[in-house]
Amino acid sequence: MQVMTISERVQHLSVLLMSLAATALLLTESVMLYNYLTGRPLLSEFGFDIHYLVMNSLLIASTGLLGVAAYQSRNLLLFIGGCGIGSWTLAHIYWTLYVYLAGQPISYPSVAELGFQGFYLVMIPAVVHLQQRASVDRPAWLVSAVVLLVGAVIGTNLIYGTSDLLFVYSVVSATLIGTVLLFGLSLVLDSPFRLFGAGVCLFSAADGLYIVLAISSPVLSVPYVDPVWYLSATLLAAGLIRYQRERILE
Amino acid sequence: MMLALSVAITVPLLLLVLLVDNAQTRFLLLFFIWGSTAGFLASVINGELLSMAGITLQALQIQFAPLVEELLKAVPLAVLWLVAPKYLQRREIVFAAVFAGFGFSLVENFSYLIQQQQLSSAALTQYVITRSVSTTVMHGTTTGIIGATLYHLSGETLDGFGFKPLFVLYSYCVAVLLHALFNIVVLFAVLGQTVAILSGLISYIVLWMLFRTRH
Repeated sequence: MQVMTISERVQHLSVLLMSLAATALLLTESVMLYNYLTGRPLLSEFGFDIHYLVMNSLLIASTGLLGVAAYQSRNLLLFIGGCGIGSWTLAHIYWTLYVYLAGQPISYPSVAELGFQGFYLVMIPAVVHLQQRASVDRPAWLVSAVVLLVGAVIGTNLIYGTSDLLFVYSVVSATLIGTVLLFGLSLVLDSPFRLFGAGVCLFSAADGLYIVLAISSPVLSVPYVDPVWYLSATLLAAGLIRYQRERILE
Repeated sequence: MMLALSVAITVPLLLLVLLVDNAQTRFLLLFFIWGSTAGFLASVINGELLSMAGITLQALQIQFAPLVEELLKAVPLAVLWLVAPKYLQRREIVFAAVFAGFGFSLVENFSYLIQQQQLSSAALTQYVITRSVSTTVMHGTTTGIIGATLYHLSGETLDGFGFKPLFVLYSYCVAVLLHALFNIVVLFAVLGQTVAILSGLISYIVLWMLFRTRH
């Protein structure tokens, strides 16, 4: 059987994308920290425009790169990874367009959540599959990560006396995110898929934090968390492409 | 009006189904008929949401309508998944899903057309062409995504991963999100409508080329 491989150019591009994301993260966080310390808004109007442009571009590039890599290698895991980041990207583009349309972020939870949670729906099979391939035991104490996240969400809901609908939705979301975080931590601790695991953990932690914040303040933008999402997306893409190039996924 | 439109489309097609010998054509026509029926049902539910739930027209367009419409269009797919999954193993299921989307769009396009009677003949034609190459493709694509997912899940493609219901749920989420994204893009006046038409046309051509090269 002919083994399909990802071209070297795609791998180089994935590393370049990760470097760009890391640079953008450092620049954005520095500017926001400086503005915060000098008592100014975190980002100016123009700053937000650039920030969203960079974020959406990096997310689209990560999805596209995984799509090309999946096509070249005929690897389903890469395709699933691309689908996950793709749905999150679509949701974020929708979220950004709403900000420009209405002049403020859309109230949580919105239809965009379907895309954000879509990432976890396909990431659960992906992380479980990788853990099975790695053939490592998952430390029992990692379950505390899920318990901690779900507990924080339930606690915040109780403190703010939210509606039943928001309570149920946020707890279900936290459970999905927590499950992926659990397997992600397991991959980071003891497996050949550490880079991917790190991406998954960062992504889940950022989403978990967003939910906890959004319960108390539903019309919310979190520019200081945004860079974590796009850096994680590039980590996920670069990780999967590297594993396929090194034939660990075959 | 939507009921009359839906009946005007579905009755002749139902009569046609009885005359057609080819099973595949009958299967596709039945999905198209369901799509046009779903168009009527969606208008009723959306109307109720507007009047009873007290949501704005914009909120309906960009948030609630996609949830309702994608669910209704996918009903026959869900029924097949639960009752007769062997039908999902046939490649025609993807086209059938697209047919349901097109049937839905036909009723929706007619209803908008009737509401625009103040336009001149040329403007009306332009309006119809615009909707036909953008909204119709969008409705077909979103239901097609759910159909394609069910088709691949019914085979052996994703056997190594398990969690099949999660992939079904994912396909519904993506369909709703694409629909909502389309609806929000067209609110950006001329630029949004241009993007909607171009994306509709390009995605249709790309999908057509992919289909032609693979089969």
